[in-house]
Amino acid sequence: MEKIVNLSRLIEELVKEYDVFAPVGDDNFSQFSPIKNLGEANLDLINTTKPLKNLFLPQSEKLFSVDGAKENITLEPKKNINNKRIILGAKACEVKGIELLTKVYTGGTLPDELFEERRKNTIIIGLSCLEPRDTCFCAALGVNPFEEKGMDLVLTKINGKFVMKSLNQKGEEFFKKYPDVFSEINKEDLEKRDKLKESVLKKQNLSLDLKEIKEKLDKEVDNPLWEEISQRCINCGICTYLCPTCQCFDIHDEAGKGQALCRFRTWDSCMFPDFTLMAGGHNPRGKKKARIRQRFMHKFSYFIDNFYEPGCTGCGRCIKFCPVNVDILEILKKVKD
Amino acid sequence: MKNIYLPYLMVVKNIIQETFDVKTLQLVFKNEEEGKNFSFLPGQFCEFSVFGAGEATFCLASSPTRKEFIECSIKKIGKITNAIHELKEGDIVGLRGPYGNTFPMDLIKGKNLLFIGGGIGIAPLRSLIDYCIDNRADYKQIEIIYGARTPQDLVYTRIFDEWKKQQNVNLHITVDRIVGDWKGHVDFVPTYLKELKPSAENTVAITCGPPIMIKFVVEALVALGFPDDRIISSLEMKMKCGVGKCGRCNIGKTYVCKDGPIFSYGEIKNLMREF
Repeated sequence: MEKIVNLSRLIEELVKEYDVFAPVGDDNFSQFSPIKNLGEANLDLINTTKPLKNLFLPQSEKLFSVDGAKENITLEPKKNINNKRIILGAKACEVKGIELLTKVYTGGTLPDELFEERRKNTIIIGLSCLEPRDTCFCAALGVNPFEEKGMDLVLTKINGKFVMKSLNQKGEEFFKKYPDVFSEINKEDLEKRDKLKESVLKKQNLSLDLKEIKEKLDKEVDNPLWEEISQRCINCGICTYLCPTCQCFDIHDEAGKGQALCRFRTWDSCMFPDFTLMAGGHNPRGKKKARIRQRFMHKFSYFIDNFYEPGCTGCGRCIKFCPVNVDILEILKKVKD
Repeated sequence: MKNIYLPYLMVVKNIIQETFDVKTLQLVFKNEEEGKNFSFLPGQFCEFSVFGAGEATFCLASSPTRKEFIECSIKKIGKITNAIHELKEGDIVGLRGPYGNTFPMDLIKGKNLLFIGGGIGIAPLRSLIDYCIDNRADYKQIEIIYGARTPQDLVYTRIFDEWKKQQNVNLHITVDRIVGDWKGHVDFVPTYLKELKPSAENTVAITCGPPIMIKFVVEALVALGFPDDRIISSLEMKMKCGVGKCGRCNIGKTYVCKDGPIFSYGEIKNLMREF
């Protein structure tokens, strides 16, 4: 079903029952934050500075607290991860990032219940991307700005109005539950939407032979590219922190002043020299070149081996925010040639 | 809701000073019920917590056939191992696991076994050695070659006698150099292996130790006629989660924590392309 939605009124209804998150902020810094009304959200952002992964794999998260000392220790696990929540205004590349992380975190014999619980409690209302940035290359990764996979509902902004379309049963129920906030869509709007889609897809149409790139990466273990990039890279880790699919974390214990000892998990980065440093001093990825190689090989070779698709969504954040202009797209093109 | 990062609470029952920098901790489950449900096989590992210091990865050094304690043998070398060495009997620690694959239990059944250990690398081997001794009928001749830097660095000297008195078990001890009073063999482990010339006939070789030792041991084993799939080793990588999510223990597409830590030399050769 698809209808014109009065978004402001819908959000007023939703916040009564759900925690609602949407892009908040401006071009300097933005992220998905809780909102109480439409005015707090900024749906005109191309994509947020901080990726949506923060809501599924928080930058820092308490795993449990340790009460008592010595022989009287007990552990208090974190309870009740979150209420039912709605993420509103996530672009296709963001949602794809969550889909890829879901493969890592909920696959295998030991699924991560923290991640699973969050995914289960979340309804995603996507937002068609109408204006890709010059660093965007989602189409090359098989995502496109109008991609709807992983969303429950999707919004498209046409002539200042929002069209809302349901993509599954969960989404369908919105129309029944909040009938007052929807109005019928007219033919003109639909035509306008289709035209818009066409023009956006035309703008974002880069295609890359990822299979060929993987073959070349696998064949040339010691590709001179890694050395070349490592000379420029300063290992700041921003590419991994802001990457919607980078999964790595550290686990460590901290006690704030006057607070209980807690075990935390925090984002970590394969770009950091101590990421793989072992207690004896041995470090299998001690050289910058090895770390650069790990980052690109992980996304475009290992991830494909393990999960049958690349670990990248083409969101372009790593290109936009790299302080020394390491450009993942340029690298892929170079590998190919 | 469950939480895979929540460890079992363990009581440090006994602490055995193996060498000046290696201690074995004998642990029991604080909650007996959890202990009853805990099962593992030789080769698997755990994440060991000292609350406040953090978590680190160690092999389960005791045999699952000996249910009284779970043992970890730990060399004092970094932040967390230092904290472990500070522990007293009765303290509570955390343990997550068992994680990873096991030694190839089907492959070794009915075979002669050649164990080659160096330094603290004897710990994962010990789990399997004791397991084999407790299931003696399933295995043929057992040869153990074990070496350390000096006589003072030999771990498990307290159980050497128990191994030696087993039928069809031979223990060959060597040290890199003599410190103090030592009447035993002096040589590096790979050199001693070449000298002993064990037969590859119907035999599986299992080795663990410092990377440089493993490298030369494997060369010697290949020269002795051991095929790649009958040379088994345990790999070591930095780990945090132990369950394939935290992203640091991979060698190429292989995650040592969930695809390993036990690999055959054939598999290791493929992995080493990545370095």
